[in-house]
Amino acid sequence: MSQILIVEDDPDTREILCELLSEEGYDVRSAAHGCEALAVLATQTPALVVLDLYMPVMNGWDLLAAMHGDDRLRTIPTLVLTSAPSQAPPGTAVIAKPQEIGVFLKAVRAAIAR
Amino acid sequence: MPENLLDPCADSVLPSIWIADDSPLEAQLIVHALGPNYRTQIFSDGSSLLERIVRTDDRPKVLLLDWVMPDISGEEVCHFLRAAPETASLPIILVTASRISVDDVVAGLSAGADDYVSKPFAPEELRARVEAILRAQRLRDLMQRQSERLALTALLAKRLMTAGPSVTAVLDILCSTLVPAVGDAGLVWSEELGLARPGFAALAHRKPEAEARLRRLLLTGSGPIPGVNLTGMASQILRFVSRSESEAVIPPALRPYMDEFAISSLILLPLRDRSGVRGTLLMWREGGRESFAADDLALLETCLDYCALSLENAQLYAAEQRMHARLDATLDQFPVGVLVADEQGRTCLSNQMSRELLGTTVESGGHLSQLGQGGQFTRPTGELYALGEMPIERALAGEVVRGEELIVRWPGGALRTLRASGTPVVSQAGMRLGGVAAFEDISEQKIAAREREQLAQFQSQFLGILGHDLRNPLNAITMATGLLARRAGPDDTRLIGRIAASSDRMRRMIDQLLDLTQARLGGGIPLTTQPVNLGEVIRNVIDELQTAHPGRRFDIVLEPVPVEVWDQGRLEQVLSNVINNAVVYGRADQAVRVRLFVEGSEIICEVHNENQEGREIPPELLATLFEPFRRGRNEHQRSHGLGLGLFIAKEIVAAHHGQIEVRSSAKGGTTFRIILPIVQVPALPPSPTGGVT
Repeated sequence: MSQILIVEDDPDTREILCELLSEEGYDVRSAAHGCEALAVLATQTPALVVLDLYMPVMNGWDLLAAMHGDDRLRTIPTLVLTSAPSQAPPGTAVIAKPQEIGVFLKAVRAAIAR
Repeated sequence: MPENLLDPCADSVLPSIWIADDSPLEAQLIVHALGPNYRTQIFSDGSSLLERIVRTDDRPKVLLLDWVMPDISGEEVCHFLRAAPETASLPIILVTASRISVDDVVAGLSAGADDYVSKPFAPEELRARVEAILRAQRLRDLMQRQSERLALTALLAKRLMTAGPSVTAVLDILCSTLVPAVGDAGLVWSEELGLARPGFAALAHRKPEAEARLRRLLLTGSGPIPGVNLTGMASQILRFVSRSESEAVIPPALRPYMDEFAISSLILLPLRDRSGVRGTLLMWREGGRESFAADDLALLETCLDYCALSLENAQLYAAEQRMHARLDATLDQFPVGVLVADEQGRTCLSNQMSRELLGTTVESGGHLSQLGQGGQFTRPTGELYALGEMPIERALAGEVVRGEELIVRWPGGALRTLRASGTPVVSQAGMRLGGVAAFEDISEQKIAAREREQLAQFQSQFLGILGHDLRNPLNAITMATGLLARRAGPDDTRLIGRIAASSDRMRRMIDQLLDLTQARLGGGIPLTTQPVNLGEVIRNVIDELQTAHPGRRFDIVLEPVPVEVWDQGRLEQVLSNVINNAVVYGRADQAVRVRLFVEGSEIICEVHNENQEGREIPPELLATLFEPFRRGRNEHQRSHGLGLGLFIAKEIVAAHHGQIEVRSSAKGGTTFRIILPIVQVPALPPSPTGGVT
């Protein structure tokens, strides 16, 4: 089953996303910020990274930049789920918070397929 | 020394000689021997001579005294005359008999006689002795006049020193010093010396009652002397004249004064300085006094030169004082404190504001080292200024200080922030003369800047809350609700739907509040632009509304319009708002009409609906329809939103440099017009034509 890494600082949102995606059959890992995410990515190569932009310690932009700078991580699809969609780096798949789960799941599938 | 003073003909009157002799024959012989060049008077005895001589001012130049007379002898007359101060120096020639002894001569000369002649004498001898005496006397008189004049000039110079900057004082001193010494009356008159009253500037008369009379007379006229242009006369230099001469020269208007005061002789002199004639001095003698002489004129000219010098000084001094006063007054108007110090660090100029900002220690004459006594001066870091480190002190030392901030703390604890600049004052020769500093109170600006900063910080925090912080929990609610809805049994579906609908409404309100905040505080709604085909946007919006309101009809005519670079999502928001309003408020049995067309240089989208009976927008609401927090026409719709929809629509259109307008009437229906300017005209895209759906 495809593995998805959730990077989200809001614990409620993180838990709901984990539960939702687990229920959808994905193998879900989670991280509270960019540093934790990079620690996971050191050993895992998920099918998709769902990430927030505004996070403490290491934010989403820096995480995207770090992944882009790594040959292996550069190929992993990403989906930005943020309350500030207009601030996402150009060319990234992005959906706005708050979001319906239907729309979200559609975006997840589309991102993995790409 | 004028030569003519030694010439007996220089005086208009002949020298007077008194003769005392008890023999009328002897007296006549003497008169005859003297010849026609003297005025003679004969006294037959000593007592009548003495009686006369103490009562008159018109004393003789020489006295010829017979040594042997019956009642009072010549020797006694001599003693008497020498004892009285008025006659102590009267020249006396003893006339003695031929049998005169040496003892008599010695006794006579001891008694005070100046010379002697023994009878019989040759007329030439008598005349030669008289002339010798007169010559000696003239020389003595001249010496005395010269020394008197020197003393007078010195006195005048001394008094002028005390006049200070006052022009009137200078002229008063001139008159009051010269008149008693030289003439009987005098006045100085000038039109242009800056005196308050045109007329004479100074006036003096030897006799107080005559001065009062003269003053009254002059005051009644318009000038010093009505009808006489004194300045004009002065520039001609009318020198001294005797009474008889004056009548031929003096203008008729002056003649009444000549009679009133019995003026016998007058001098009219210009008061000149380097810039020309500044005024006129008129001085006269009255009654039987002798006429002005050439040396009087010379004396007055010298005195006037002194006076002109003093006037120049007085005027320079007064001009400097005026300039100082003007400078002070001007500087006091400055909202900036100005402080000028000399090279010793003494304050030489400080304006009102500098005293307010720096304390009274900067008053003129104070020393910069006292600055710290008023308040405590620190740098913005709180560090105290060391001695000599204040901007003005550094300016004195040659440094240019620009816009340095410093904080002054007053004894009461009040704090002011000042911005100080300073620059050294250097002479043309490069010598350091001092320094000048300017102080500006920027406390208010500082406070305002801090407030602006706080407000900006608050705005960005508020925008952050609206844009980010509120959305995270809302996202959790929305997603959790979606998850619950998937797992819920039929009983829970309705309630879960309520949660979903409410959280969706909250999302919309948060979106609107964010838009409002950005429009009002953040400088406008930000746009994300791309090429937009407005016809397609309208069609999509209407498709969505048609799905939501299957029963409603839309009458659409979309003419081809240029593709413009706009924010598609934001324009969708505007059109959705306006067309949805038409659907909600318009008559359900009538089509909502939507038109898109080009008019001039503008793209126009019109959305029209017919009104239900009495459901048009009332005129008072029309005026404020696009303002924030307006409510819709249906009061029961209040709960649906914040009343920000049309305000945000207007802001979005404004961000596209367009306008939104509305018309509404019971019969004509309600029409919104969205007007957007055409900026660029690219090739027209193939556009769908309109039709009725």
